[in-house]
Amino acid sequence: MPLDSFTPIELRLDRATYSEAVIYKCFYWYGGEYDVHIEPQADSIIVRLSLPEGKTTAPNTTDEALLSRIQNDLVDFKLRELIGQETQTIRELLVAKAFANYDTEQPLLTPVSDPVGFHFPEGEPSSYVSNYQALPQVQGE
Amino acid sequence: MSVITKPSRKFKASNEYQVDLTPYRLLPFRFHEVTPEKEVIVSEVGDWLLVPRGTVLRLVSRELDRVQDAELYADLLANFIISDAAEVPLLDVMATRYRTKKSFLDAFTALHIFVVTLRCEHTCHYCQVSRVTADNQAFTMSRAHIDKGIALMMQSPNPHVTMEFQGGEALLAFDTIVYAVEQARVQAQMHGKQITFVICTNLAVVTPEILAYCDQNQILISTSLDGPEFLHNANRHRPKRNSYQLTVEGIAQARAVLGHERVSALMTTSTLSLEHPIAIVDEYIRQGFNSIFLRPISPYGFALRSDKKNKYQTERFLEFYKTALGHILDCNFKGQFFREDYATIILRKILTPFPIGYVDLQSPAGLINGVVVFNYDGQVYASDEARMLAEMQDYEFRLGHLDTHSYEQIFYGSKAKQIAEVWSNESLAGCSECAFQTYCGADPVLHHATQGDMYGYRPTSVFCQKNMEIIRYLFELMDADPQIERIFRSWVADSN
Ligand code: SF4
Repeated sequence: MPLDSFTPIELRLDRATYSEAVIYKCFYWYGGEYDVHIEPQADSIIVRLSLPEGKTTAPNTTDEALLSRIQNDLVDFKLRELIGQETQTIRELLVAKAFANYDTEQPLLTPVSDPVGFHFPEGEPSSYVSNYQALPQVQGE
Repeated sequence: MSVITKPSRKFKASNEYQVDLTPYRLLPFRFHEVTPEKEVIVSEVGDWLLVPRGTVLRLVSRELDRVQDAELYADLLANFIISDAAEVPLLDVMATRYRTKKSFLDAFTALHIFVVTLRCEHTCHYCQVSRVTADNQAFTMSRAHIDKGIALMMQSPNPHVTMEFQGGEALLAFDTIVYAVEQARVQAQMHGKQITFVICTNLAVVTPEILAYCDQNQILISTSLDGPEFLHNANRHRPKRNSYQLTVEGIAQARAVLGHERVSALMTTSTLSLEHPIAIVDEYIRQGFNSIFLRPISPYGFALRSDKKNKYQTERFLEFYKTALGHILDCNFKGQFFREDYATIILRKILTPFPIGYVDLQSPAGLINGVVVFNYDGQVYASDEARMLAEMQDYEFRLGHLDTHSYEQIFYGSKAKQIAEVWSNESLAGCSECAFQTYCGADPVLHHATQGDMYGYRPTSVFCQKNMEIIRYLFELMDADPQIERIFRSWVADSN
């Protein structure tokens, strides 16, 4: 049924399933079409979608389609969070290593001042590996 | 799969050769739904894989099996999306790839735009700068400002700079251009820089003498062609309604003197253009071009104010774009090489490890990093769009003035720092988790102009809406037909 007279919808999302960050990131994308109201509670987070003031018709969708979109988006943003948590260290290392070459300072050779191994002189291949292996293991290992 | 259980003295059992079956490790990646059936996974360094919807869920839930999903598993490994070693032995390779993707930053500002005059003999309704009469000297850049602009250009760390002359109609100040070229040549030699000259012109006032000078000085011509005669003339008003005729004749003359490859054309999309995607492409083919840049109308200058005539919906532009792109692909299917340039910029980033210097499709954005504008009055702006805003009395992106500001104050000053806060899509809400981040960019000027905030709000951003859909669509096309990917690869190869 097209939502030409849209009644605001309210969702109660379990905090154990969806973090606050996932919910904010997910519903950020709904802000163009709806007024999004997010209300954190003790165990859950309530999300209300309503039409912005002055708008009388909802975007071209049905309530089933909207709910299905929300469900899919929540799963996708939860996956993004999991990927982010699991790969954050590697991403930081990657970016730091990529731009470390821009440094013009003299190489620092003590393990304390060079914990990641960026400045190991040439001839010591893969010097980062030993440092890297000391990093916390990711989920599933 | 059969497994040899009896040990042999010559050959070890096959399970001896199996890799350690510890669960795989995820490497940083993002994903996006391309169609209801497919999603694209994009690694941190821009490698990608089109997979069935739900693959990421299986991947993250550790449901992928390296034997049963052997092909997918190998693809994920090869594309830096997973690693099956405890450490990441290819981190060095990935870091090099990442750095290559950002190598457009190495040299800093290349494009220096000199707005030599605001005068113009056209009265186009969508003109992005204030139009003034053809005989008004007050709107022409002074020689002192030309000298100061060149001095700043010579301070750019980039060994190869481009000096682009714009207007108004730049050729109405041709004597100023000649002065600038002569001065810049001397300075470039002193500073050991290579310099490329470009004149942006509608060619209405071009003469054999001007073309001869361009030829002697290897100056490139960039002109404007909006489509077939009725459309071009409707967009570009001239007293005798002969803009198209002058442009087409000018292109022919310029090619005859400078050579075919030294004359390029840009189109501006108007509301009227949106109804004629195929005719526009056909006009470019008829005029002997092998590519077209399908540009959305910019929301700057008079375009913002001329609501009725120029307001167009991004949706309509996307429809127009897809129809035109489909027609271009049809031409390629029939054996005619013809390229769409906006797609090619994005595809170069999708299909090769290399970046491309295009102001709005890079992160950090190209303003200041890649381009700077010296306006006719000595004001310095962060990009061409920034000076168009200034013509509407919005000076948000003014970096300084040629008379009063040093190189450091302009390029590393407080305004540059303020813009730098928002010019990387890696750190913008919405973009930070977007799979298309590597292929897209940031556009603080457009977001300021359309949303009143240079940070931008992605859910209603026309920049985001346009790029997200075009990038998604390019993946959809490649997925639908391998022949299209081959055509896209030929565009990328040709644009190098
Ligand atoms: S502007 Fe939109 S498409 Fe581009 S990176 Fe940001 S979110 Fe993605």
